[in-house]
This record gives sequence, structure tokens and C-alpha cells, in this order.
Amino acid sequence: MEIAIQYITNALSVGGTYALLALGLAIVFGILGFINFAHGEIMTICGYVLFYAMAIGLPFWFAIIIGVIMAGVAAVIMERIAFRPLRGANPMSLLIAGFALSGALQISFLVFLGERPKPVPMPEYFTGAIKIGGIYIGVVQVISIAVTIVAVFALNLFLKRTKFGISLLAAAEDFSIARLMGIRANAIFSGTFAISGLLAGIAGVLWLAQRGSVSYTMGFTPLIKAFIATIIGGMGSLTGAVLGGFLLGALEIVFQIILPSEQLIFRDPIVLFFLIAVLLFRPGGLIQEKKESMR
Amino acid sequence: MLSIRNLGIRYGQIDAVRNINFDVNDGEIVCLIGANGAGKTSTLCAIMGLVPIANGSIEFSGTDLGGMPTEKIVRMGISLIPEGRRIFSRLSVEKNLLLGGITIQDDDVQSMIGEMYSRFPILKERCNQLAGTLSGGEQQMLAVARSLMSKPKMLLMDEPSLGLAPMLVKSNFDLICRLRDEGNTILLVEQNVNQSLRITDRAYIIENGELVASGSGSELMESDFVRNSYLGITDSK
Repeated sequence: MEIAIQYITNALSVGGTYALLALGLAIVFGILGFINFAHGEIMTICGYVLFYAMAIGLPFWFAIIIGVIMAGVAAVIMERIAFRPLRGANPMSLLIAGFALSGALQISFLVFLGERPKPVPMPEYFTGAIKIGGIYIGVVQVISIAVTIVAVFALNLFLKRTKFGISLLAAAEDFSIARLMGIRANAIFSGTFAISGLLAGIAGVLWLAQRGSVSYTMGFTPLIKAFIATIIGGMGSLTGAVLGGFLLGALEIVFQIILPSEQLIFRDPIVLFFLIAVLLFRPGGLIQEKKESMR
Repeated sequence: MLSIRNLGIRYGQIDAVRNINFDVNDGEIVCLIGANGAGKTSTLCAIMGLVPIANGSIEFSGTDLGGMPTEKIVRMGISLIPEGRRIFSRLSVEKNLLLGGITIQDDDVQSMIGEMYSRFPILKERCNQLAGTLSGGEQQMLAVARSLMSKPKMLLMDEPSLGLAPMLVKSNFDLICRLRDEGNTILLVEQNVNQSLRITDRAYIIENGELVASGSGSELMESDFVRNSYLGITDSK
């Protein structure tokens, strides 16, 4: 029983991190129609900011807030420099711009910040375990789950209740009609990337909390996971991205448990095999959204 | 109010619209008539800044709209009700109206929504329903109400009677007349030539991207060219 609950919290915390990242990809795809392959580097930026903020002696929580905000700022700058000049271009061009940006950032991190992973020490109360109903559960896991729930809930509230959020939903459904209402296209672009960046920043903190160090390639693996989650969930669907993230996290933990240790290297291929099976039955992903073409 | 001079629109190598000239004066209904692909919708999109103009000019109340972004043109006081209505089907009726009024003062939005509900009471009944669940006629009302939310000086309507049941087509034309009587200026694109010519002040006929005829509604109703090509009436002389 105790083991089962620990595994479930593991699955939820890993899945939650994937879900937040996938949400960031999905919101950009849903509104602007392309996948931002430099999304992982936003996470990395958050990690480095966290490292340097703590290195100059800022308190842990303050460093986290700065890291997440800087991730949002980095995403907005990224859109301004790399994607806005290509507005209206073929989605393939935007995809390639994303790859180029991702590569350029990784090399810059390597050259300017060094090859060695930089440790981001978590405070002690973060790494311990707490006892809930007689069962020990890792604090990091509990915090990850709580943060994921709060972030998803806050995003939902923002999109449904605020004027700007509703404008974003309208733009996701029909971009040119949203402009015909007088919604400023540039505000949509910046706003979408800001949200996407903040989500990547939060996911970056959770990722670091489990791994403890930041390196120039940190963003790569989670980006791939998030990309898989958005495809499984249904491209562009926010609910789908969250479901996809949790499904991916759950499958990884399940196979982590049932595979004998000498065969653990086959975990990822087996998980992918299962997800391909999902796509065979639902080619559009778990949740399919109808979308008007963007002009 | 709106004056279009030598307007040309090009998609790649293809000329969609060539050297079109027309005017819409304050308080008028002006109608653009033509077959599918004649360039009517392209003209409306060019006015709204959704497609670039290749040559010529579009002036609204003395301001050149060329190169202006769509969202700025909307703020100048022009609103387009697009072909196929294109309401936000995944959002509620009320949120559709809210978005229509995104350019007006926050304090005005609620009173404008109230005004739309008294104009179209059925929308009030359905205010929390997703717009995609409305019937075709109700969606048309929502599209009109959404456009009126921005208090436009001029309304562009792209084939508002397309896909409506015959009874609704009639009430739709009644609505257009009522809007004009309330002082709105309307540029209407229609394929229902007969009904349009009855209500319009002036009409322009477009074929293959060029203006081929113009005149008042009643003049065009009388002309042999329009009677033969658009109304399907052949006079036996």
C-alpha cells in the first residue's frame, strides 16, 4: 500500500511536470499554429537564472520567482526576435526557426556558461519526506503535484475569466476573426509566449528540484517528452496536453516498476510503443479540436 | 464616407480585383453584386486590411487605410460581418459579444450587451450557451450583434443570407433595412440579387474582378443586362 502510494505520487509529479511543459507548447500551437522547438531552452534559462540568483546569495524562494519571471521574459524576447519577423510564413519556416534558436542558445550556454552542470541545491525541507496518514511521501513530489494543480487551475481561470484570456481563446479558434474584433495581433503573440514561458519556467523549477543541477542540454529531453505529450493529447488542445503529460508520466513510472533492472534501458521505447498504439486508435490524439485556418 | 479608387488586389500571379472604383456615402446601403469568385469578398477583406492591396487606394472619412493593420481599421469604426458568420463557436454567446466590444470602453460593454439583448431577445435566453450550439438564424443574429458591439460607423456584410432558410432570408433583409433606418451605413455583398436591389440605394456589379455596371437599385432592376444575367428574366420582345 505504502509503495503503491509512493509510486502514484511519483507518477503524478513526473506527469505534472510534463503536463506544464506540454501546456506551454500546446498554447503556442493552438493560437499561433506552430511548435516552438526552443521551448526547452526557456526551461534551461530558468535553471541558469536560479543558479546565478542563488550564487549571489538571494533567498531560495526569491530566486525561484525571478527564475520563472525571467523564463516568461525570455519567451517574449524569443518571439520578438525569432518568430514575429516570420509572421504569416509557412509553419515549416517557423519550425526551423525554432530549431535554429534552440541550437544557437545551447551553443551560447556552452560557450559562455561552461560545459559542467551547475548545482542548484534545494533547501533541506525540500528534499525530505513527510508523513501523511502513516505513509512517507517525498516533499518534492507533493510540492510538484500541488504546483501543477495550482498552475493549471490559474491558467484555466485566466483564460475563462479575464478579457485578455478570452481574447486568446478567440484567437485560438479563429485568428483572423479575432483581429476583426479589434484584438491586437501583437498582443496575442506576446501574451501567448509570456504564458508559455512562465509555464516552462515553473516546469523548469520542478525538473531541477528532482535532478539538482542545470546544464546547457537540460531542456532537450523534457522538450521531447512535452512534444510527445501534446501529440498524444491532441495538438493544440490544452486539456489534451495535460492529459497527455500525465499519461506519459504514468506509463514511465509503470514500466520503471515492472521492468527488471537489466532491461530498464528499454523503458522509453516501450512507453513510445504504447503511445503509438493510442495514436492508431485515435490518430488526432485524445482530444481533437476543430480549428479554423489562420490567415 | 468610404471611397475606393483604382483598387487592385493580387494573389500571386492572379488578379482578383482590377481597377475598381466606388463610393459609399453616409447613411446609405450600397450593394456589391457578382458571381462566386468575382472579387467581392476580396474587396471587403482589402478594406479591413486582411489582404494587401496591390494598387489604388481605400479612404475612410478622409483617412487612407492602405497598409493599416486590421485592428486599427476596426478602431476607425468599420466592422465586418464575415461570410459564414464565423462566430466563436467554442465560446458562450455572451463572450462572443464581449469580444465584439473589445475596442469600446469597459463601462460601455455591459450596457451595449444589454442593448443587443433587447434587440435580439433570443440571444439573452441563450447567453450562457456555447455559440456553436445556436441555430443558423440565431448565429446570424449573434454575428450581427457582435459587430454592432463595437459601435461601428460603417458595417460591411458578406453574404449574410447565405445558408439561411427562406423565411430567415426575408427577416435578414428587414434587419438590414432597420439598421439603415437607425442611421447605419452599410456595404452589403450579396448573391441574392433580387432582394438586394430592392433595399439598396446603389449597387455595383462585379464580374471577374472588374466593375461592369452600377446604378441605383431600381435602375439596375430595369436594366436588360441585370435582368438577363442576374435575375434570370428574359423579355420576349
